[in-house]
Amino acid sequence: MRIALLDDGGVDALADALRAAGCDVAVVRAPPVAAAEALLSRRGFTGPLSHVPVLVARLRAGFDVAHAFTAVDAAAAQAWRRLGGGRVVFTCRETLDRSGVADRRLRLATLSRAVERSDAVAAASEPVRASLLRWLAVDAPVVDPGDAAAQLRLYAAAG
Amino acid sequence: MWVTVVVPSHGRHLRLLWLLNALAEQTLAAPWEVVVVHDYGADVAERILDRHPLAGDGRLRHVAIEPGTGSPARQRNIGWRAARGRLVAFTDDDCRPEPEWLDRLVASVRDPDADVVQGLTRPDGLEHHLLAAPHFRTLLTDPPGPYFQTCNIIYPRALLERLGGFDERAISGEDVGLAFRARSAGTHVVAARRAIVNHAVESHTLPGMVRENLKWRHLAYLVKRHPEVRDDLVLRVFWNRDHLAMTAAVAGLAAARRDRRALALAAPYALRAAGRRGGGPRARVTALAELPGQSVRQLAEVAGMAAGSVRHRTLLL
Repeated sequence: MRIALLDDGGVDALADALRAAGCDVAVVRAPPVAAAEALLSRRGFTGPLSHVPVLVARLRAGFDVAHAFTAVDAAAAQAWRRLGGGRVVFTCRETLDRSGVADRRLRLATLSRAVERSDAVAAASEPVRASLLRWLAVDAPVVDPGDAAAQLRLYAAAG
Repeated sequence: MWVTVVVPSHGRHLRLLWLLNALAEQTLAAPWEVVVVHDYGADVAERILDRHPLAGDGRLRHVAIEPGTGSPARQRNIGWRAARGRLVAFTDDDCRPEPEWLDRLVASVRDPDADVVQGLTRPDGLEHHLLAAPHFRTLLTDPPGPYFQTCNIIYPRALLERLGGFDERAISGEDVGLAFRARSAGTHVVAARRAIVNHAVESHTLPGMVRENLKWRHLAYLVKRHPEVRDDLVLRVFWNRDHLAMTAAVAGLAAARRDRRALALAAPYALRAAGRRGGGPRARVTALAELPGQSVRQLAEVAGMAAGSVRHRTLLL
């Protein structure tokens, strides 16, 4: 199983743990374009968004699972799945509240798609789990981001 | 005194959840309940409604109707007829009432069998970034207004029964129709400016906005049923000044083939559109960049209302 971890700045420890468990793991990075982000932000969009096309292109290198940690990256992984890619797993690391679930353009759309259309959804902590339940009505299991065995069970559940 | 909050919901299950969360924080001490009338499937209803803490408290009931059979008027009628409250408050699934909302609405009622109380509705400050979108929908009503929008209002159940509820033949503007019937019946309207509902700011694509606004073509039915609505229209025909300016611009462009001076008729629309985002240079550039999309949207609105005028045989643009 080839696993793509979509880098949000905090996946290296998980990548190491999965490699230690014998998995074929790649950290997929696609940096946002600062000028584009500034323009999108001024027009009220959630962000970052400008990295999405490159992210989708890089996922086409042939993975079985794409593991996203932000709602936008999960939406990108779902686009990859529609193009013939594999399973999409979303781990939410952000504790949601009402002020941040629909505060920008595409925010609600990406959040709702991330939790409703991913093949498996997890919460990174108990407060995140509670916030997912309160604001998105999703009862996601808490999966420790550093626990490779638990992550592998999550990938299997997505299949 | 029992109060029932009636909420029709369609296609916005997460916003409905957020509304329920806001209702769960209401400070009203008197007994109250929520009745949601929706067309969601059993799985969504279970996830959003049955598992909600308000349902656990016995405050939340819901009525499911067949998908595709609902309209705001029908759903609100089902809701208030199922109400246990002597007072019926209406709000919408894209709203976020402040915690004191219901308390302040109820506190403003002097005659619980006759008074209608209208609260203040404003664009949700938590979503103000979306006002930067070229096409968005939100609502601002400063009571007392003539239209009694059902996003923030309380009716006595007895009055709803006397009036027969909302006119289910009205696809849109059903709340306005009820307002005119209530006023004709001599209803006293109380403004409760401190009873605040925050209305969602939703951005749309241009095709999405055109589709969304096509429902306004049915306002011709409202004008046909209640000709007194014309007193609030621009020149008794146009729904707003933008529609008048757009109609003049179209007429000017059409006539310009014979006489170029007719292009001047498009100037009011261009000036209004250029000032839409404010007066600064950046705002002007943004407004000009948005001008083509805004023109398409408003042309579609006026065309839709023209089609509605033909259907209902009364002119409304």
